[in-house]
Amino acid sequence: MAFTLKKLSELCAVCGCEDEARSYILAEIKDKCDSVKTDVLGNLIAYKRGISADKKLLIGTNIDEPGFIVTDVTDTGFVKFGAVGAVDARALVSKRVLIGEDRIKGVIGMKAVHVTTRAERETAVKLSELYIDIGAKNKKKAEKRVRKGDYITFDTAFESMGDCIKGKALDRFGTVCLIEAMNETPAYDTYFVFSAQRELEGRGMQVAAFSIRPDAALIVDTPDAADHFRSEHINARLGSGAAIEYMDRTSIADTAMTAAVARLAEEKEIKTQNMTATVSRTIAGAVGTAAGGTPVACVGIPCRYSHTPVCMMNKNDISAVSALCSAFVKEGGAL
Amino acid sequence: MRLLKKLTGADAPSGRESAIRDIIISEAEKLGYEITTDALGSVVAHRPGNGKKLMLDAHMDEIGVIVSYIEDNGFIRFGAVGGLDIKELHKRRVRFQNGTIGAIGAEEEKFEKKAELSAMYIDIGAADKAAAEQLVMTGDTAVFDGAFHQQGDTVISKALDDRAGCYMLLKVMKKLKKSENDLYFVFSAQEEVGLRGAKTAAYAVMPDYAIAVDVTDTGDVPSCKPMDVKLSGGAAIKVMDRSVMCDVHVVDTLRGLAKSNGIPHQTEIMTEGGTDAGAIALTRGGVRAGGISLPTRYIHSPSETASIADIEACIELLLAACEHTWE
Repeated sequence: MAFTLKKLSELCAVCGCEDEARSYILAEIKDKCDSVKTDVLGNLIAYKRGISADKKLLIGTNIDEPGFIVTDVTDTGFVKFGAVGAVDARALVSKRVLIGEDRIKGVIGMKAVHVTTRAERETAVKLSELYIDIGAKNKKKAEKRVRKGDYITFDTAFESMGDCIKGKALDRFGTVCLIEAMNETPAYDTYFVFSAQRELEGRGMQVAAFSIRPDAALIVDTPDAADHFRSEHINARLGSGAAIEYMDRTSIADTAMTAAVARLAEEKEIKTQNMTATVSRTIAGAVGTAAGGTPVACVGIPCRYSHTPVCMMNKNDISAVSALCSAFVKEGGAL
Repeated sequence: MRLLKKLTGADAPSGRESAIRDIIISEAEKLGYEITTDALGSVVAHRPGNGKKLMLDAHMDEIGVIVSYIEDNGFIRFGAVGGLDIKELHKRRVRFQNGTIGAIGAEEEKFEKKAELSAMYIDIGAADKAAAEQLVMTGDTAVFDGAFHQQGDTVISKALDDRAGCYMLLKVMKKLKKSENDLYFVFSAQEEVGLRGAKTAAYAVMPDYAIAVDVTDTGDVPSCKPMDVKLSGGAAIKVMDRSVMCDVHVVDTLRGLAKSNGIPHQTEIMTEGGTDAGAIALTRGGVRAGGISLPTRYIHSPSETASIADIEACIELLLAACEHTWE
């Protein structure tokens, strides 16, 4: 099975249930590293021996995506659900979803416009008011296909549109860069961490970093590119290159590491932009404060509409971050 | 108070602590301590002893702002580094790490409806984006301007939170004579953004007991929320804040030491805000942690106000805690 961006996007791997993504990525990387293991939280950790064993580097990203979980089935056969990770309820109405391992098709339903009141139309819908319609007649019929605890993902077809791509779960596209960087011979012993559960405070990465205890780390993130809003919200722009992140809600990038990454980009003529993510979270903090602490830098592929059924990215940004990751691995993080 | 003035004068927001770190390292080295720094930039001074490991912690970072975006017209958009009271930021002065000064402005109509950072900007007098970028770039940090001033028993300054704690630790390191304890003085990084430096430092030190030294609110100004801490009331012995329930043995020991040494003291229960004590207490299998706090008015402002007599009382109590043989 050839690795494709389309396949990576369309995998069902909601936070906490990342099996599909894990096995897909494992098949892709197992011949590129010296050893690979899966830990108890479901992190896929590949190790590649370096030219020097003096230092240990970690380069990490996440494999999960935000999604939902079945919480209840009503007597009338509709599926109630809760969010796994941060999802905006307003973006959910009338979207198609897939439920459970059998990928049962469903539609997130809502009253048709002509039967709503003015008040209903003018207020934002809450998650608790929404339900999934799987076309079942009653509870008994519905429960033949769907169980409480089943994970739910968006049913969104991946598409390429010129320089851009659109699809669900682009927030795991840091994996593309890590897989690419594994082609390099690392300067130092390097751990490639494909972490689970980013959506839940980066739990996977906390555990992985604690067990690896790297000397330095680079995190690949997919920050919001709010470049279509008013300027005070802008942090990263699509098509403007790899975003070097100075701060997010979980971490403040290490000064020396970040300068080294920026220098590396300049040397390799990789297009970059600077950004400060003052309201969003990354998994950099999980590495930075694990055990005795790690200097960490963070680079991102800007992503529009993240945490919605359709995200958008620019292929050139993916290539830029990819090139930066490869350089980081090859040159030993410019340490 | 020359040292306190010097410490508060260093501009060092969370994650960008090099200015204060350099001062602390040089002061600690003058006193003959063995110094290490960790990955997050916390400074650890060790005084070996055969007894229990006692860790004293004060954070060295301060609150500030970080540039998130520069507009085409040269105005700078920013995010918070640490807990800022957004209503109060309007018209304050900030100083960037390269010395550039800016004034915080607000989009009046939007800001009056709702005080939020997206309605604010920093004005450095640049005509356009290119001119602004000569001085400041995305990712740069700045602190609030607030010069140190002493007036009788009162000190007013920015960053007493928690340079006052750093000052007290350095004084204790200097005055300390005999101690059985294995002592670690930790000047931690990144407290204001989530107790991060203390977390990793405590992991490395793995103390038996820990005392976080920080500032605390007071309940002694007109029409404020009731709180049983006042300026000039002595060292505040922490019982609880949002991050920690202090270890009973540590609280009792500190109270006993204050009483037996005739040190003015009071009891602190801070209902808003946390301290490094919380992060230290949850390290590895858990650490018995407490806190000694300096009563301070107007915390997280350029005009933090404290009493020198209280600072002296905290130093006395910390000295007593270091000299006490912990079991």
